[in-house]
Amino acid sequence: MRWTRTISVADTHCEGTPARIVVGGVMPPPGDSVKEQMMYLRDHDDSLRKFLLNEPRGAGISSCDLIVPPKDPAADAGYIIMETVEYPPMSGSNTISTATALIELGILRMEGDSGNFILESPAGLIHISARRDEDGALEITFTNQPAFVVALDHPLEVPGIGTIVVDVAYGGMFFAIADAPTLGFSVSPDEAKDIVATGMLITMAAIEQIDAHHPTEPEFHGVSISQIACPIEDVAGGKKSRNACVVQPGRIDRSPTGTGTCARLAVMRARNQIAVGESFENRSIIDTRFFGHVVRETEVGGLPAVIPTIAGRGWVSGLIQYGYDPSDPFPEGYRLDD
Amino acid sequence: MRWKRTITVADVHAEGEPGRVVVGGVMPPPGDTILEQMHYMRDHDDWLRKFLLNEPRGAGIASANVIYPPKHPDAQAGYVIMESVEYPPMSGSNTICTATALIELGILPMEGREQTFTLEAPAGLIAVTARRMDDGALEIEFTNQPAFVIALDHPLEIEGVGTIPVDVSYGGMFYAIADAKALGFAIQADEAKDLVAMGMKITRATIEQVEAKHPTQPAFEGVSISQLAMPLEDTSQGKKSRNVCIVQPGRIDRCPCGTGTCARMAVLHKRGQLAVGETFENWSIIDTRFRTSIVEETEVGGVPAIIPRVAGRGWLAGMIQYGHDPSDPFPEGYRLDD
Repeated sequence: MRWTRTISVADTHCEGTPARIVVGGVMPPPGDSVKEQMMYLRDHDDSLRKFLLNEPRGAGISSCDLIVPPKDPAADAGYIIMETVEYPPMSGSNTISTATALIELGILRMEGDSGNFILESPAGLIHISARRDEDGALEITFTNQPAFVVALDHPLEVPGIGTIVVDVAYGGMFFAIADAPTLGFSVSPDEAKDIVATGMLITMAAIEQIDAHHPTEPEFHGVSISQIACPIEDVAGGKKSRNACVVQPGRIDRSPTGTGTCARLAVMRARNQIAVGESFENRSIIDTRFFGHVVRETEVGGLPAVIPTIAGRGWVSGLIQYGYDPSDPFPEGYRLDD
Repeated sequence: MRWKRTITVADVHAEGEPGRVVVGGVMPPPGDTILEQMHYMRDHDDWLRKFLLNEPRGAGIASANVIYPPKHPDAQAGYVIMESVEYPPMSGSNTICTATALIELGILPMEGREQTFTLEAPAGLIAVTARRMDDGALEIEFTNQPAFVIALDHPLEIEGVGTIPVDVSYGGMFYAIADAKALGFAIQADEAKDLVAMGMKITRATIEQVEAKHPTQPAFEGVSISQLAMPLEDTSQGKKSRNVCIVQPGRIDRCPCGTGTCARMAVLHKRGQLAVGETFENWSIIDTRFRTSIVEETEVGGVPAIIPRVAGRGWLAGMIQYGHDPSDPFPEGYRLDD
């Protein structure tokens, strides 16, 4: 054995969704901003993403993040999000996992049981608050970019199901949000395979039938994720719900989905189902929770929008040194889509 | 962050198939043999398997092994094999992964470029030879338990396909082996989903229509894996072929499959296509290979059998410390079958 490359990784999960955070072993890529660095990796040096997310190292894992020194003088750290098929500009669970690694490994220091930080993501600066719970868990709250509604009760013809209505909203990605009980779901784990099948039918129909455009970011367009959401319930101090977001090519997000919860908050605000500042508890199919609320109302290119925050817990579940032996036939791993 | 449990793991792959090997952080379970220790874990203390193979740590990973001091005086190390749904007595790729970790981490010394040693598996003693190749790769060769044929050209009725002949044989597990070419396959990566669908149909039909029993081990019965195998070809050194093994509930083994290759060798020998001592090279769908040969003929409970020897390469892909924070809601992970 000899390793020509050794990558230090914190294995984390955010409310059940795993993400691997690279904390050492690579030099920062060229670029004057984290966004430029992300674009450099995407266009010129995709080997780290493949090494970490392809098999054998990345079997079953869909997200990794590379921590880099920030380029913006206001930020405490930068991070580049890497997923199985792309480099997304922003992701809720990746932000929570990255902040968890930064704090739990002492790269950023909390004073006492809380701290405020600014992270530079490819999408821009993300404000973070970290808080240590009574039981020792670390809760990360981040403020997202504006979320807004594209359409409420949009009729969608879904092959094999019929015509249903969906809400279409943006929370960092475009979501088609469908009512779970109408489709016969209560969003429990034994429904997982059926939720994936239905969710993919809805996504495919939404891609064909719904024109979703970001008013100021022309490169962001098109529904890519379906959300099967239970009705809103009143609880002491606010509202709660339960949802499963089905990502392509057919997998349920284990966490309540950060960007999906933001999209839902935009819909709830547009329907006047939640007030500014009111708490929203959103549960995942494995019974983990995000707490969100609308910080304030705003607008994006003339569309009414909300600024949401999301809070969720992250844990370091392992510390890994990944290595590459030059006699190994898979320097960038391999993919097999069975 | 605090960890009340820290498990040290070598992340290994055998010809592309990942296997995690626990090298520290747990005490050996009670028992006078590795088999008894495996039974103890299976019946009384299943947490390590769940911790390593459930999500979030085990997403996408099918196998883990734990190294214990041997109980048998002739063995240098013992190992218990853990898979997603069971504790198998023996596995080829897991044996290669375990031996790779033992050698590459220096737990067992290697004198020069070749070393023989004996491992105690739950199935019994396994003779292993480790060999350092010219390019620095480590090849592990092991001698398996006897492999034998249950039936040649057994007519199998498969819904939607018709009646096809399959060979049924044992190489550590029972396999139904079908002719890939006759079913329209070349065993290429882009056929992966169709191979899984066909393989699962064959497995289900075999479970219903074929009685397979081990003549001396009544606990081992029933076909559980299907193999789609290409025709045998002559090479300058011997014979070669290409195959996929489809394990339940529908996944392709990334490596050429150790026990599956042994089952195929028993069939080839019975058909007079592979002589004792002749080299048989078996390729996987991701173009990795096992080099094998028949050591000798034998019999098992009156059934003619062969002793197969299998060699494949293993690489250390990473070193992991897995931890459990007591505030983490998933001490044994979780499963979600989507």
